[in-house]
Amino acid sequence: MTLRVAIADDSALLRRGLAALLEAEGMTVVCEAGDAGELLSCVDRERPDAAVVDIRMPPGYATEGIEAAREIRRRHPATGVLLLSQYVETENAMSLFAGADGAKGLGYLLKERVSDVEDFLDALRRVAAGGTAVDPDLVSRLVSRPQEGRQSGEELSTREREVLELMAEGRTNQAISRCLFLGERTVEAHIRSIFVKFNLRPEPEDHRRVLAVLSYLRSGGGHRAIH
Amino acid sequence: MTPRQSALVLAVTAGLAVVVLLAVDWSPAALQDPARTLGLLNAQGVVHLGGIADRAPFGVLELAMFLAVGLGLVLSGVAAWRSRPNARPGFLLILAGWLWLAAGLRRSSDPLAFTVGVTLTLMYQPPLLQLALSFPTGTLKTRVQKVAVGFFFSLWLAIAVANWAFFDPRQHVAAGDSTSQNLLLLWDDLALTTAIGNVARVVQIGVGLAIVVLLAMRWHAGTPAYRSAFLPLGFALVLKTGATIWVAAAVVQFSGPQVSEALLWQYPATAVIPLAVLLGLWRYRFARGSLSELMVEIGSAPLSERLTDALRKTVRDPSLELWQWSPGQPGFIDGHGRARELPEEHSGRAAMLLERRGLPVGALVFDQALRDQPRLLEAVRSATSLTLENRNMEQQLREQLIEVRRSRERIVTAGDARRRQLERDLHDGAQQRLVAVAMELARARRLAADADVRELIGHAAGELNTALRELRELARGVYPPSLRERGLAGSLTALAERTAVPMDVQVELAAPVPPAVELAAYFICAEAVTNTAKHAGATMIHVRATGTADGLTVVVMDNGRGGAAPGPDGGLMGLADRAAALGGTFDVVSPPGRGTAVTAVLPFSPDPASLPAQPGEFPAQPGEEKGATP
Repeated sequence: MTLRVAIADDSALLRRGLAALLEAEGMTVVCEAGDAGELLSCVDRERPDAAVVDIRMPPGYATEGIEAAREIRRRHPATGVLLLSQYVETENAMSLFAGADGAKGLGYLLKERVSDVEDFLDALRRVAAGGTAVDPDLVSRLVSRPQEGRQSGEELSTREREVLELMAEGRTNQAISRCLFLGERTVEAHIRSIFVKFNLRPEPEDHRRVLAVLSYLRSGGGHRAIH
Repeated sequence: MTPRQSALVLAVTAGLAVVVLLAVDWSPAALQDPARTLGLLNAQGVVHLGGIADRAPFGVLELAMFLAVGLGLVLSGVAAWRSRPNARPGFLLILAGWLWLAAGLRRSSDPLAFTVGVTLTLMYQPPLLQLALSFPTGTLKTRVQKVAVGFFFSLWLAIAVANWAFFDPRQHVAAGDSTSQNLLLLWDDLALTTAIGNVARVVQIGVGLAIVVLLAMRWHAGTPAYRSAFLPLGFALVLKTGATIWVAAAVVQFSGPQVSEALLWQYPATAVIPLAVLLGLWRYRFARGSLSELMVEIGSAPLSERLTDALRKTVRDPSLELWQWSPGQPGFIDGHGRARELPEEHSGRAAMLLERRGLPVGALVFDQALRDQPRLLEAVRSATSLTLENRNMEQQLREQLIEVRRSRERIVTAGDARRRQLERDLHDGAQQRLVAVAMELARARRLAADADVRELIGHAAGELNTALRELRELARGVYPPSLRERGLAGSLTALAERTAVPMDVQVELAAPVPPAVELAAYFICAEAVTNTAKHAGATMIHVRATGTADGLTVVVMDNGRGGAAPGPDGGLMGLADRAAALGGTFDVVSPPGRGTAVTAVLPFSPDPASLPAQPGEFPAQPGEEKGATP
């Protein structure tokens, strides 16, 4: 099935490049919008599977993309939104994921990730399918972040940490096992262990568990169960 | 008054006194001659006196009193001339003294000397009248006054001549003899002389009363400064006028030795005039004494109101004003900030320009009467000039300081605007293009059939990603995008996430923070946190930003090794400069081994001229923006 994608970026150069890249992969680019308004009317009209949206757009050049993403999610929950930014800020990501549906069908990546075509397309497909994509930079920043008051025994093993990072990026167990050359059951075991150490309730859905892990990491640890 | 002028005046006076002394005829008949009675102009008076057999003869006591009054007038005139800027009042006194002394020639047996003496008997009065009317300048202002004084001179001369033109004293002394030969005599007619004498007396008394009324009116219309200066002389003149009228009446009404006694009263009555002038001079000296108080007043509190009050007290002129020179206009401004013109000549007000080093600093505007006290004014001028110059310099310094602060703020603000623009240019320009290039490279790599080419392109893409990362860091250093997007709390939280040391951020703002303050606060926190992470060996950093309605306080505390100090090349110094540029303060407390606390207080309004708002004027609303990352 051909993925139908809307693109929104104020730079025509990037719009064209991105469209060419996606079309070369056999996707259909339904529109190339220069600002949020254009994007919204396009999504209303075309009902694409996913929208690739630049965060910083006219008129304010601040977080117009996030507003647009919220609006799309409200009107068309089936349309996944992959936000691109030239830098990642946890605040932006968390405010994006803090909506009612959590991280479902949402992605937040550094713009330059498009040059790693495989990963980028993977993230886009994941988001279109209702999954989550979180930029590795943001995840590693949260994971490697110094945590105050974390109790001994909570320390993750190196392998668990690798699994945690991939999980937080929004990847499926299958993808994690492929990535780390591990069996899927081993991956599941690691994930269970991580949730126990974090004192979190296991989440069946990928996007929920992403949000749970991100929230936990962001809050700096502790023993709060995050729903 | 030059020494030469003094010497000349004194020489003339001494000469006159000697001539009078030599002219006195000490023969018993001359001493008893009523026609030679000093100060007695009226022919009727001579006849009346001539009829009194036991009239007192002229004696040494009367001569001494006569000379003392004349010399007193001259000396007080000299003293006044010396101490006042205007020579005229002194000269009028000297002239009065000379005329008074010259009238002493009447005691001579020489017909010419006798006649001159008789004619000049009352001529000392017109100069004193002029002095009274023209006080304190000595210059007659109006035409009416000039005419009045000229009329008075002529009238007195005419009365003298008319009284003696038809009177030969040798034929009308009942008791004793008169040997005085009157050269003014046309023919002897006692009836005519009596008629003239009656008319003259009425005129004299009328003029005397008119003078008293005039002086009373002048007093009533005068300013306090005029009254203060004129009081002694005015009092003396009223006394003298009253005494003259009384003597003129007494000579005709009394009989016996009382007439001679009444005549003697004219000497003390006239003597009060030089005494009054001397008293006035002493009062000016006394006023100068309070200058030292003035200097104390100026030294302790150079406030405009108090200074003016002190000046008013010193010179006894409640109407005195102190105007400041405003170089901007240019012109003078008074205490209420209004532009003023210096008073014109003869407007009743006088002004004294205050200058320092050839430049005007202000003006003292006061009652014209004060011009009479040049030394006092000079001292006041010096003291006031000094104070004004000090204040002007202080004011200039303050204005320069304000301008320097403003320009520093402008420089920083302009730099911040450039930063914002540069970050945006990087974001919209170089970064976008490099991302586009990375995208093209990715497509090229997928299209390339050759493995070597793919590897080469992959390598290039890797380098490009590194360049993009570096560019991103650079842009963040120029201006943190999170500040634009999420404000101070968001950017400090982002800072915490990038920092290797655990960091606790608390932001509480009561009002929106101006962009310049926000950026300064962010840079101060970022630099302090970077310093701590690099050097302090801390395990925890606390960042607090507390905003009120008119300022923001940021505190960065760590539990590291301390001992940090702002050096000339260190980042802390740059932070201090940044805080100071906004009119704020910057403080580092870093005791060795006990952590470091960096505090910056940044006002929202950096204008040093504006005062901080009163507490309670803007009720604080905490928690409007609040960010916390444990």
